[in-house]
Amino acid sequence: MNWHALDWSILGLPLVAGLLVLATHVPLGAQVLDRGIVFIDLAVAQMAGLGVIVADALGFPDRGVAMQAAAVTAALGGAALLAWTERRAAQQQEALIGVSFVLAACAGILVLAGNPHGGEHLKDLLVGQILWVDGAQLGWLALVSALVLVGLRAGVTQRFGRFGFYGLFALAVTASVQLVGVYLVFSSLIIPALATRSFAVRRRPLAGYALGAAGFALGLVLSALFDLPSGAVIAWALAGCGFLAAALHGRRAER
Amino acid sequence: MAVVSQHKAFHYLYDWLGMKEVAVLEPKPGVEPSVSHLQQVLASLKTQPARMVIYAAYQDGRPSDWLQRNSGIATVRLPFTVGGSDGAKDLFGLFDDTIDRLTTATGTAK
Repeated sequence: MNWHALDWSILGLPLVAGLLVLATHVPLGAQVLDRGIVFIDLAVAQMAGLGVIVADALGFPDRGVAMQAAAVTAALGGAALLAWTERRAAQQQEALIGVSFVLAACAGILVLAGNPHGGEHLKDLLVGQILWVDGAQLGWLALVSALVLVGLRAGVTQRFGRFGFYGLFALAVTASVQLVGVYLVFSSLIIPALATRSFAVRRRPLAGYALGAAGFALGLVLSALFDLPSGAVIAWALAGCGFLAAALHGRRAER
Repeated sequence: MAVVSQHKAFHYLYDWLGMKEVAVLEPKPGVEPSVSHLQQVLASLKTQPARMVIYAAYQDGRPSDWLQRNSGIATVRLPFTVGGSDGAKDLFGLFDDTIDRLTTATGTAK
């Protein structure tokens, strides 16, 4: 264990990135769970990542506007496709989401087949590289998160129906997946929503935010102390905090 | 001249030009930098400052960019081999371009 590694000049920006991701993912996650389409985030996140991989293969400049446009286009395209399949075949929606996730992942492998750094890119897409976030990326993430939250508040998901929800979802996930990776996008969406299921409706968002923030902070601290990859440790820490919150709440409800 | 390498790959270059590697961003060759290792690099730079952090053209520049933001030293992307940059079209170009990039980063005129 290395206590000197607890350096907030290193861990500060990644923690802010995590909190910004949680800001949109906790309320969206509750809706995902209610709609019973848990794997949609894996599918849409994977499609946004596919957009980045294709843009990279086409020689677009790394982290440029064109690359972001490609990622958003791919994610929105995926969202439109899934909104359409939900209308056409609601019964099979979960299975179709699963298939589209696998196809997007396999398309990524195919595009990267001739790229010697393909393995690194694929791993980045899954566990992200939260340590390297810079101020500019956080600024963009904050902007997109604010837009998504305003959209949720303004009732876009009710007013514009399916595509309103899927579209907002695609925007939020595109912004977050490139910083924290598919696994943390999934964990931030599902774990807080799942752990707070039995909470009173009024208290659910706050409890979700609190346990999510605790998970990110604990994960970053543990990854520093034990010198382990941050993204993977944070996913485990989120699950631990979620389990604890649900267990404590369950015991109180029994009494 | 003291430098940081992202990846241990420049022994001959450092030996030739009398440069000194005071830290390496990767904890082991090929292993991605972790929080605790980055903290050690930042701490060691306080006692043993370096002029620049060097990475090869075939590597992901994000760890070096991170060090630039956190310590203020320059990043230098070296072609590493022929074809690694537009200037390194042949062996002569490789040496010229490498020296060029190093001197630009140190701000010393040739």
